[in-house]
Parts: sequence; structure tokens; C-alpha cells
Amino acid sequence: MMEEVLEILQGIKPDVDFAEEKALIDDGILDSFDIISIVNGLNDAFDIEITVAELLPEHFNDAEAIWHLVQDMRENG
Amino acid sequence: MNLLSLSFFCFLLMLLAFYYLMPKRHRWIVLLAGSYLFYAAAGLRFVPLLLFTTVWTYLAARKLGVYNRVIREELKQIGDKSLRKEKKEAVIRKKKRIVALTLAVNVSVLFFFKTSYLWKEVPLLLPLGISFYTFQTIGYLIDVYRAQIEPEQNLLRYALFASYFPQIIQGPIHRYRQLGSQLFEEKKFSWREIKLGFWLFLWGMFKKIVISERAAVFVSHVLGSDLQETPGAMLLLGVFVFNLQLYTDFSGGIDMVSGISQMFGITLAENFRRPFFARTLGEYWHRWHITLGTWIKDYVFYPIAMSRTFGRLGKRAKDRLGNHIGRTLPAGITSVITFILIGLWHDVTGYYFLYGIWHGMLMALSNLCEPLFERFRTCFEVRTECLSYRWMQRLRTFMIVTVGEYFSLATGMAALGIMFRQTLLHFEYSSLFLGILNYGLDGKDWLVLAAGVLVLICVSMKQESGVRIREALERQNLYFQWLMVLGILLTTAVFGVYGPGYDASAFIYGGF
Repeated sequence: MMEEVLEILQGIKPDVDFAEEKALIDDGILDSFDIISIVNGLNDAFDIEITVAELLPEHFNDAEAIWHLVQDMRENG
Repeated sequence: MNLLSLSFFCFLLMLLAFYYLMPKRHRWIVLLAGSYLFYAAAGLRFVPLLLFTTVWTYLAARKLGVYNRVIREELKQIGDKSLRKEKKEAVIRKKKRIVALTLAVNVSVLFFFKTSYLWKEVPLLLPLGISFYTFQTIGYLIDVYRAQIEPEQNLLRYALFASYFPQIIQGPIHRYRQLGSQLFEEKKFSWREIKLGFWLFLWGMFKKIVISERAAVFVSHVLGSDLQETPGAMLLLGVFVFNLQLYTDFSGGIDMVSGISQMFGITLAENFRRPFFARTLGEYWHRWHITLGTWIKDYVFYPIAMSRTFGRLGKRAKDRLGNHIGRTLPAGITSVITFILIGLWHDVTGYYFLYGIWHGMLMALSNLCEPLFERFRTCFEVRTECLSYRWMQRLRTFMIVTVGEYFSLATGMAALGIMFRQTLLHFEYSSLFLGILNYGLDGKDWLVLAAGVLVLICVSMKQESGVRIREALERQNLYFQWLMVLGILLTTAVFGVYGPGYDASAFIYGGF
């Protein structure tokens, strides 16, 4: 599943090394347009519904945090 | 209370003395009393309104907190999944009703005051910082609704968050988790914090009094002249200088209040990060009025862009127009909507509507057309990481922002048309050399303004390269530190602009 998350991220921002970056939000690497694209991509791929309440920097600062968010959404809806 | 008046300095000194003499755990009470005193000094009749907004959002947030607890604890006990879901949805509906009602009241009050000039011959005086405390309390309420924070149980502590005096004039707009904990932390007295705060205050004062007030004289003369007769070059220069005036007024004011806050050991959020170094319009909005941008993004942009309607729109666009358009179209349309709202918040007139359209459309188009730009860059082998390209991008962004300011400065559609016509058809660049002294500033003023801007650019470039100016100054010898402080004080005293009826507390965004 982590590979699928990385694939979605890479498709949206090909020039970013998502395996290495740890401050995607704090360093301004992802902007609001990217976040919307990522959320739409994740929702489609994993059949989840990420809401605005989940849009916290700690959920999107690196690929692993995004992966944890997806797992959490799948388990707890 | 004028931030540069003797009365304010006495108030600040007394408040600092009371604050640090008070036992640590009660210090926030001094800040609360000081904040209300400051607010009352700005207009006693507006205190009830601030109190009303405070109590109203406090009660609503408490109620939301109760419902959050029900969802988090009580509903978890229900074994039947569908029953649990049904109960949860019922509680969420109640939460939504509370938020909708509270927001409707708060936004209506703001709208009432901001639009009074449309229906009253003599417009109502805007309560100090009404936009900023309204936005801040709305943000708090929505964060509680989203269960991102726990509601504050103590009304007085919440009242301090809503009214904290350094930031109530013109922001920054804080989130509760940013400011709340700092306000109530038990802080030690620190000479260093007082010193660094004072330095920041001085720097803000320099920007405001030496640069912004001087720039304002030129801008008001250019825009107050007969526009039909004003050469386009002079108008364009006027709008350039207005950019400078607005930036140094707003960021200078924020530096001053941030410095004051630091003296109490409380760090305010960063509101400006050298916006004219931005290479794209998107980056500009990440550097200009940062806390408003974040507020709009979290409470307006994301809820619209992530709504079901926009989700469906994105899917349809993806099927018909491809992946890129499908991904960026919902955010692009939302961007136009949010910038229109930002424009209308500034002023409910057609020209600010156009200002919003200008910024929103460019943001949307730059994202939608990015693949085309990329193809262009590849085709023509454009180097994007060289110095000349970076400065070309900065210049382009500055020009885009400047054109946007035409919309905000025009006093009517006719004036807007004349301003554009003069700029495009009657440029007359020679007027810059022949007539520049006819618009309120003499040669000495231009020299001072140019020197001030040079200092500002040097400091900004240092900051851009990662240097922390105050920390660097701290490492110098003590006599040099004092020399700098005295230099700024003297420069401000000698070269500051203090015209008749001058009011240093009259920040442009203080009227919002």
C-alpha cells in the first residue's frame, strides 16, 4: 500500500523525492492545489473519504504520515 | 491608543511591570486587563461588541465540546455499527446547526459594520480589529467543531485569546493551538526577550514612519491629481510606491506589535516573509499576510474544493479533459471564489471584485496551464535555476501584483479606465525626470526614501539568505548594538514623516 501512496504522490509532483522529504508542508513543498490533488487521488485509490478535519500538517508532512492517515481512514472510516 | 504616543509607552511600561511582578501563574490576568484597557481606550462603545463575540463563541464552542465528547466516548460504547453511525450523524447535525448559527451571527455583525457606507450617509466607525478578532474566533470555533482542539473551559482565558492587545489592531490571525498555550505558560522574566522585542519594535517603526508615511505622501498626490492629465509613467510609479507603502505600513505595524508581544515572552505568528522576493503568484500569497492566507485556506478554500460537488466536477473533468485538468480544475475554481471573497473583504465594491478575479484567475490559470509552460521551457531549453531567470520571475510576479493594485486603488470604474488608458497609451516616461518633484516629495525626501528602501532591501536579502538579523546583531560588541539602536531612533526622529493630524496608529489594515 505504501508503494501505491508513493505512486500517487509522484504522479502529482514528479520532481519531489517523497521517500526522503520529511517536511512537505512545513517547507512549503506542497501547496494547496497539490493537497487537493493528493486527497482526491487517495480517496479514489483507497475508497476513503478524507475530510477537511484531517488536513493537518502532521498528516501530510511526509509519505509515511500520509500512509498512516490512509490506514487510519480505512480502519476507522 | 497611538502606538507611538507617550500614553502608550506609559501603558506598556506599567503593564510590563505588573506582568513580571505578578506570580507567574496569574500573569495572563494582567494581560487580559491590559488588553481590555487598550481596547476601551480605542473606543469604549465597542467593548460590548467584543464581549458579545467572545461570550457567544465561547458558549458555542463549549457546547460543541460536549458533542465531541459524546462522539468520542459515549457512542463508542454502542456495539451495533449501523445504530452507532445513525447516532453519530444525529450528533453531527446538531454540531452543524450550532456552527451555522454562530457563524451567521458573527459574519452578519462584521458585514453590518463593513458595509455601513452603502446604506448610511455617514458610515459607522469600524470597531478596532473587528475583522481580525472575528476571524480568530471563527477559526477557534471551527477547530473545535472539527475536534482538532478541546474548547477552553475558562471564559476569562478565552477572552484573552480573543482580545490579546498587540494583535487585535491588525493581526496576525492566530489559531488557538498557536497562541493559547503561550498566553498561559508560566514565563520567566528575560532581559533578552525585552531587548529583542524592543529592536523589532524599532525596526517596524522605521519601516512605518520613515518609508511608509513618506511613500504615502507621493501616492496620495499622484492619485489625488487629475488622472486625465497624469502621465502613465507617473501613475505606474505611484502604484509601485503604493506597493512599498502598503508593505512597509502593514509589515512595519506587525513588527511593532510582534516586538511588543515578545517583551511579554509571547511570539506572534509570522505574517510577512519578504513577499516581493516571490517567484510566482502562489508563492507571493504564501509570503504576504500569511495568517490570513492560512485562515482562508483552512476555513474557505479546502471546504469548498473538497466538497462533494467539486469532487464530482473533478471526476467529470478528468474523464473528459484528462488527469491534469481533473486534478486542478476544482482547486482552480475554488481559488477564484476565495480571491473574490478576499477582495470583497477589503471593500464591497466592483473594483475589489475585479481585484479578486485578477488574482484568482491567474492562480487558477497558472496551475491549469502548467503542462503548457513546462513544454515551452523544455522546447526552448529555458534554464530555470539561474540567477537571471529567478529575477525575471520576481519581476513578473511584482508586475502582476502591481496591476492588481490598479483595481484596489481606483475610486470608480471611470477612474480605473483612465488609469489603465494613461498607463498604456500616454506613458510619457520623461515625466519621471521632469515632474517627479511635483507630487508632494522634494529631492531630499526622495533621497531619504531611496536610502530607506536600500536598507530594507539589504536587510531582506540577508534574511532571504538565512541570516537572522537580530541574533547577528546580538553577537556584535555592546557599543555597536547601542549605536544601531540610537541610529534607528535618530533616523526615525529626524527623517520620520509627521504631518499635521498625523496619527501613527492609523495603520491601513487597522481599518479592517
